[in-house]
Amino acid sequence: MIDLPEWVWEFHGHHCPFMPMGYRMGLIGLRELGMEKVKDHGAFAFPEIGLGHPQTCMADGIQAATGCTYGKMMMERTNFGKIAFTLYEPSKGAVRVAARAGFLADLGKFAFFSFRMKGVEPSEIPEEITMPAVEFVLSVPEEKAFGVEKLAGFSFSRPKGSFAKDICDNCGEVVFERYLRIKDGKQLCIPCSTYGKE
Amino acid sequence: MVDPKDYLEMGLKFHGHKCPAMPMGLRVGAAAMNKLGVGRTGDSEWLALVEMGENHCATCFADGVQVITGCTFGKGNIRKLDYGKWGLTLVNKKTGQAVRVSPKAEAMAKNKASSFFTDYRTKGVPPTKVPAAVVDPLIEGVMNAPEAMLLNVGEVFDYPYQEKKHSFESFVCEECGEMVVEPYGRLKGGKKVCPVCLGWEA
Repeated sequence: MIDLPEWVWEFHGHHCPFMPMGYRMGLIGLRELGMEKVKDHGAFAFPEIGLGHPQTCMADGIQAATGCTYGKMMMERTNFGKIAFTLYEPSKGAVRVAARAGFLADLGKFAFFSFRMKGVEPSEIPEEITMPAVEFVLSVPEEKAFGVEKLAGFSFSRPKGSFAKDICDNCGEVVFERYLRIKDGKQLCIPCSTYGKE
Repeated sequence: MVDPKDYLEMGLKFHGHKCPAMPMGLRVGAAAMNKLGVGRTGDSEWLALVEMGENHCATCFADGVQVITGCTFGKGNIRKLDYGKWGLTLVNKKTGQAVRVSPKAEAMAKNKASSFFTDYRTKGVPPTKVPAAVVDPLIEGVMNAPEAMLLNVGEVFDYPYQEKKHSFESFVCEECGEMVVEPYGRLKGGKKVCPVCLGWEA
């Protein structure tokens, strides 16, 4: 069984099967690219999750295992709604790790999910229900659970710094162009557009 | 009361390196939680709105916020507002209350003027290669400064939480000619374009 440090559980906040799945996928990605956890910057993790589906917890496991964290700007979701991720380090290349459909189908049979589908929050589900699913994820043979593929020619870089700026049509203040938003045909800064606000 | 010092060790393990911004996220997160009278969330009852954008320093701040509030990228309850600032608005989705906390400009400026940035980070030295004698005092400073010197803590305000409304407004990208939803539109040399034509994974 894969050893998952206690601090990673504490970071995530609850027990569930998808965070450990992401942790395991992160370790596989690091191994395939011949890397250690990235303590500084320079690598990127692209979980193929979107928002609003329960498998997104996977991304916390990937953050913890790879060191590609949200705060360090090393993690971006692709919004594909899939249980896969790509790890990329410019000098070492890219690898995609994807959960196999058969493995996810087997996992779906665990009682944990019938609680979740009824809307029970993960931290309120009894441990004896949750932990068998967690142990399954951490102990299932890798080749049964994950497809691993090196991606030739993959590249990604952050956008270059821009000096272009323009005026907000509403407040008249100067805004860097890429932060201007379009609303009702006008170009507005984010606060005036109200887009940024939830 | 949430004590940020209880989360420094986990923060360093998670984040991977020592810097002053991650601890600042711990302090800001703790102040917001204490003002709202909430503890750390294991599920996703709180929502953390961080004002940072991309391509600027000290985004590490958000890792501190993740660690202390339990609002994590994986759980989908931390979001960037892209203002290029370091404020945090913490929302209690259940009660519809929120508070905004931000680091004082003087505290941020003091860190920015330190040797960690001027002699190392701005010269491209990665954080793990900065001597402990340089970075440790900065972390100590952030962790131990009295709250009143370090942070502006706002009053609790009503923030009725609702999921984002769907947008029906759209326009035709002036480069590719495809339809794009208005909030995703961007400007490029004065033209209204989609994020793909901007060349930016937005």
